[in-house]
Formats: sequence, C-alpha cells, structure tokens
Amino acid sequence: MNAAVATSIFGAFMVLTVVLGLLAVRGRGSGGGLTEWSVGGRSLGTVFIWVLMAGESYTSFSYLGAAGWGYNFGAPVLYVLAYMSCGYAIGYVVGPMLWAYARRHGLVGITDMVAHRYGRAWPGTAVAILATVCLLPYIQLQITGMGVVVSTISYGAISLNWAYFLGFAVTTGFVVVSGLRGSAWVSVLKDILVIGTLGFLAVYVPLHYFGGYGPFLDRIVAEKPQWLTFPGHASGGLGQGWFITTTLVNSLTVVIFPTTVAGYLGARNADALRRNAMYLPFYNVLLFVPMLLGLAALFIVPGLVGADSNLALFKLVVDSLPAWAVGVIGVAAALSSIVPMAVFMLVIGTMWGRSVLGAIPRLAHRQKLWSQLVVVAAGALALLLTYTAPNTLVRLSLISYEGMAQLVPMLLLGLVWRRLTLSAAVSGLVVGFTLVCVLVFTGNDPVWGMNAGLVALAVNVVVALAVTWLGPRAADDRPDAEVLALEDEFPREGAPRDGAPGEAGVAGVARGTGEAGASASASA
Amino acid sequence: MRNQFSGGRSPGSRKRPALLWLLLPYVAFLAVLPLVNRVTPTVLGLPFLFFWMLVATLLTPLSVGLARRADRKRGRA
Repeated sequence: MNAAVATSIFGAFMVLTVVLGLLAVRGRGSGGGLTEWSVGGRSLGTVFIWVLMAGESYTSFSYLGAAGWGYNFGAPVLYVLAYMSCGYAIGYVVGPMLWAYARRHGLVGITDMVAHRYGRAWPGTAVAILATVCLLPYIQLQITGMGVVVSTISYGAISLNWAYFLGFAVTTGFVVVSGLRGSAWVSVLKDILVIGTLGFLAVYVPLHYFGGYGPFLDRIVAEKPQWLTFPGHASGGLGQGWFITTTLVNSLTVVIFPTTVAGYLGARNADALRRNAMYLPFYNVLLFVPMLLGLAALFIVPGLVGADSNLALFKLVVDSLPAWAVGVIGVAAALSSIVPMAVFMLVIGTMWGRSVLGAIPRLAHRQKLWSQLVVVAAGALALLLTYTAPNTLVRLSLISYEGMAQLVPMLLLGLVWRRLTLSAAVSGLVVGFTLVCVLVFTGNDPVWGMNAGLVALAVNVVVALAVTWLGPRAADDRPDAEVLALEDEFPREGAPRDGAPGEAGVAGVARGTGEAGASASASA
Repeated sequence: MRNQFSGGRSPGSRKRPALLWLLLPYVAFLAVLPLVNRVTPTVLGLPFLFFWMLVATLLTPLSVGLARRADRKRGRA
C-alpha cells in the first residue's frame, strides 16, 4: 500500500517532468541551432537564471552526501556552503566577463572560449576530452543518487537497477530535445519542491523526534561536540587547513565549471548575472537543513556505515512520514539528480558537438545534431558504468573537481593576460592535472593538510608563468580586444546594453555556423 | 563607450575598488576560522561555528550587493 502510493506520486511527477521539459521549447520549432539548444539562445532573464543555477548546483549530493558527511564527520561538510558562497561572490565578476566574451564572439562553452583565446581549434578539443573525463563521474553520481532515493522511497518496489535506468531515461527524454531551456523549466518544479520539502523537514524532524529545536540542538551540543568543530569526527585530516584550501580552490573552479558557465551564457544580459550573484547565496541557507538533519540522524538511526550513511536523511523521512509525503520528498530529491544530470549531459554534448566533432570540417555543419547524439551516448556510458562499476562516488567527484581546477589558469588568466602563451597554458594544465592524479590516486589528498587540487593549481600557475617568460613568444597578431575579455559591459543607467555589442570579432577563429549573428537577432 | 581606463592596457588598470567587497566572504568563511572554530557560546541554540557559518552565508549577498551598488553609481557618473 505504502509502496503503491509513493510510487504513483513519483511516477506522475516523472511524467510531469518530461512534459514540462518538452513544453519549454513549444512553438520554437527545431530552429535556432546550437546556441538555442546549448545556452537557451542567450535569452534567460534574472528569474530563470536564478532557478536554473540554483537548480543545477543543488544536486543529489545535497540530499545524500551533505547529510552523510554531517552524519559521519560533522563540521567538514560546511565546505560546501563556503565554496558555493565564495564562488557566487567572484561570479559577480567572472560571470559577466565570460558572458560578454562568449556573446561577442558567438561562443557556447569553455572549450569554445579556449579555442578562440588561443586561436587554434585543438586546445578546445583537448579541453573537451579532459572535461568529459571529469564530468562523467558526476553523471554517474546523479544516477546512483537517484537510484538509492527512488528505491528507498518506493519502499523497495522499484529496484536499484530500474531506478538507475529511470533517471537516465527521464533526463535524456527532455534534454535532448529542449536543451538548456528545458533544464531551466524543470528547475522551476525542482526548486519549488526542494524549498518546500526542506523547509518542512527543517521544522518537522526536530519537532517530531526531539520536541523542538531547542532540545535537538542542546542534545547535539551536549553529546556530540566532536562533530561541531573542525576537524570533525574521525574525518581523517579534514581540518581547518583542508577547509580553507578546499574552499579557495573550489570557489575558483565553480565559476569556470562547464555547467556554471552554461548558466552564465544562457543569461539575457550581464546584469541578470550580477543580480544573481547577489540572490543565489540565499539558496545556500537551505544547505543547513540536510547538514543538521544528518546530525539528527545520529540519534535516531545510529550505526549507519559506508554508503548507507548517505541515506541518513531518507531513513528519517521514511521512518516518520506517511507514504504520500515520502513520495513528494523523493520527487524533490530525484529532481535534484535530474536537473544537474541534464545540464552535465548538455555541456558534454555541447563540448563535443562544437569542439571535438564540430572541429572536423566535414562534420562542422551539423553541430547541434552531434551534440544531441553525444548527450545520449554520454548518458548511456554513465549508466553502463553505474551497472558495471558501482562505488561510493563522493571521493570520485572530489577528483573531478580538483582536475577541473587545473583549467583555471588557461581560461581565466588567459582571458585577462595577453602574454600567457598556448604552450605555457598547456604545460601548466598537463603538470597540474598529472599532479592531481598522482596525489589523489596515491592516497595523498589532503596533502600536508591541504587540498591536493590547490597544491596542483599553484604548481600549474608557476609552470605557466615560467614557460610564458622563458618559452617562445606567441605569434598572434590579433588585437587585444579580440583575444581578451577586457570589457564586461556594465550597463549605464537609462541605456541598457542588452543588445549586440560590436560583432567585430567573429573573424578570429573560423566558425562554420554563423550563429553569432543569429543569436544577436534572436534577443533583439 | 569604452571605459577610459581600459585602453588596451591590462584590465587590472580598470578602477573598480568596490570589487574588494567580494573578498568579504573569504574573510568571513576562511580568514577568521581559527577564531570561530568552537562549540560555545551557542547562539539561538546553534553551536558557535554553525552560527558563524550562517552569518557568513548571509554576509555574502550583502557584500555582492555593496559591490554592485558602487558599480551602478559608477555607471551613472
């Protein structure tokens, strides 16, 4: 009976999700090309950008991993809050900068930006492949996250393997057709459910189990003080140094993370991004809920170990609520897998359609089609890996992040500093990425109490500077304004600069599509 | 139309001192960590570290807002 109720609610919402995702592009035909699909035609306003970017950053990790880390370690889980907040703050500068650069030159992602900045196609291709390796684990993480949630909230009626497949099918079902715009529409449903259910749980759980917040917090302070400060409980080196270095490197990485950049580029104008740098941090307050409920679970379901601790929050939900409520909360958590998964698949598709397959002259005229095919292929590959190589993935996602961090000098430093040469940026990237792999796979992360990604990033920058100063000078005679992201077009009062800035720059790297012009007219 | 400070030189020469506000979250979350890494005193029942992290989270939109306000003033000038 319980299983039937919860499963029906879940099934109904999954259908609604696909319908909503598809409705997003109703009446838009199949026109618009890659820009329309990958970055929503650069047409999303402040509200949609908020919903989308909140939606894609609040992943299944927030429900599972955050509660699990809170349960296992306590305070170290606060790093999520810290790096996302700091990342939103520097996104105030980086977001409009990348947006304006992409808009001026008709670019749709970071691989595209790299190719344009260095005036060659192959660095974009290389970055696309590297980023795909880093992002695939995230898709798998969302699939497994959705699997355990769905199987738990259906009281076991839906098996893990079916739940994995459902996650893949629902996501692919809309993102292939409707791209970023569809993800934004589904995010509306997701954010409403997430805010509603977490708000409810934040009040209900302490009241139900402890008789209110006061007694709940008093009991944690009295009995579990070890969880409440760094380095937390049995965290194996996640002390203050780790927290500070992780927050630093992650906050730099999150602003160039391909999914974040997809959100930036979807904006209608730069001011939508500046406003959101201000409004998005409020969403982070919600992260306290799974963290605190993870701590609450210590008293209610003690003794969870390993991957089971990720279910700390859901054990409370299933234990204390009627089936319909379990179903609704399960939908919120499932959508927290689906929306980020959709954007991850979308950016992998975009990177390949544009910078890998699209870089082959014979294939360049069908970039959107290749992107859509790669979406399906990437999702299917991640699903296959989930069946054949399941594992606890929080660690793997940390490796991905530290690897992506190594792109920061090539992209951000490159866009503001003309002298950085291609050979220097590539050298730094290769050394940094290798160092991350060595440190992580030899079990040396944290290294000397610091995040290995930050250590590797420091070495990366030193190598890049050294090669720039000592190595060959670049032979690139394009003007600075063409190569760098110098101007982020701050709108003047009364003269909003929404419209197309000078399209002077399209001549740089040959593009097969002429989309820069198309997108400019689409938003006029 | 183009900012007079950006004339082809390094972008660091653009004068936007208000962007220093964006470092405030780093101060609140990271620089003062050794001082706030404690359970007591509890505030509103929250252990001090968690209370402080809530304060820092709410400071973030404020610091971005201050940077934006200065930028908007500059835009009008």
